[in-house]
Amino acid sequence: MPAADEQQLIVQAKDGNHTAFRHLVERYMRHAYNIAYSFVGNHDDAQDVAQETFVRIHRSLSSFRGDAEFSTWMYRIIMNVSLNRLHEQKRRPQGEMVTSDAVKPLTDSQAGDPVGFDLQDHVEQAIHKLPALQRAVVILRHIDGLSTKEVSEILRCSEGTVKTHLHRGLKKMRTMLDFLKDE
Amino acid sequence: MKTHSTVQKLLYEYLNGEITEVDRNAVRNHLASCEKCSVELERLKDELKALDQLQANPSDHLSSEYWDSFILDLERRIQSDRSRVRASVSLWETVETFWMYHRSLAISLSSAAILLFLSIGVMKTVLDHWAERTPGTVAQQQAPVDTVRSELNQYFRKSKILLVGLTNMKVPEGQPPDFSVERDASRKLLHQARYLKNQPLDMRSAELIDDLQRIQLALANMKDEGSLSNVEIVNAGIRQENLLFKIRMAEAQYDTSRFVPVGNNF
Repeated sequence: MPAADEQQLIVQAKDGNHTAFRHLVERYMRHAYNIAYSFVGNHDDAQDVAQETFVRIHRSLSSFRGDAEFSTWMYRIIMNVSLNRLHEQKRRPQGEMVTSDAVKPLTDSQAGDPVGFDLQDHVEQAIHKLPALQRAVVILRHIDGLSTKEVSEILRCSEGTVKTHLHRGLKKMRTMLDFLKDE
Repeated sequence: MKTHSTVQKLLYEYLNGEITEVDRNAVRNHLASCEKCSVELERLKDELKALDQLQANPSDHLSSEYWDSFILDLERRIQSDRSRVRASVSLWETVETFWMYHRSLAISLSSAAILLFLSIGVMKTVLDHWAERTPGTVAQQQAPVDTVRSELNQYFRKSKILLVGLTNMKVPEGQPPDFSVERDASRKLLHQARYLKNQPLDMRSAELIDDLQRIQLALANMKDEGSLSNVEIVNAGIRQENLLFKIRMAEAQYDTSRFVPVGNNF
């Protein structure tokens, strides 16, 4: 979508035009779902995070001044909602843990016997064990393919801070994946 | 010559091309001769490759019907959200975001606010303490009744001495009268009268203080070399208001030394 069209849709949606807002949702809903999925790791939570993101966007659209790109703003909201959801996941009793087919819990037996559990699965599990900010940086930088500058704008911090979190995150992941060395 | 750990820290930048020319050459030279770091580089390559190959678009597996229902659900949520309070939410989001990304700054600001509140509390306590020790301040408006009685009696006694001295004043002929002592005493009594008028008083005492204040004000404003006619005017006022009699009556009322505890009579 050209930037001018997007701008026009945002202006119209701000004025209460439901069709314009619907077009914005249709434009970004898959993207929002994908980012949310990479954070929360299962379909149910990803769907809920994506919907909650658009509810918040609708609620705060009047205060969106356009200082940042719409997508940057959306990323930021997804981040906040996802991180809240992850906190909720941690608080959930073990029995209620949402485990979809896409996220396989990395048990000790699997860690020791990685048959049928390829590197990608291990990497994905390692990402989900990282602290929130490190996880965010690794996901945005490597899975969503954003530049360091874009990530720093989303997280409202310096590029140096992004790099630091990235280094720490990758280092922790490497420690978690150390057992693969022995294969 | 770079160490293993320095080179390994630079491997990520080396792979992503985010490295200076000097560092790139140093890492390349080190890798050419170091098997350990070369293995690390290969591992990092595999990990980053695995990261890049992670399912980036899980939405591809969802049907168009799913997205239609997604939009319908969303519209329902937005409808129900409209009924909620909106104003507090954006503020909360701001606080939440600020706390999440600027935690150290938020902690610093909170600490500063706590320190400020503590400082204000300590300052208030010190000021209250200081005010209690300073006579004539508002803090003393609630002085104990016994203290007020005693001070009232003292005020009347000093006023009586001043007025008696004034009525008996004799000035040698040919010399100007000197009122400096009377003037200073009047100023002190005026100060004391202002304090007493802020205390709970009976009506008669309050009226007497008013009368005495007028006399003391005239004396406090009298010049060094005042004329005897001024003194006569003041004396006429004292006689007219029968002030000395009133003072003696008031003294009898407030003279605490005249009373003794009941137990001492037996």
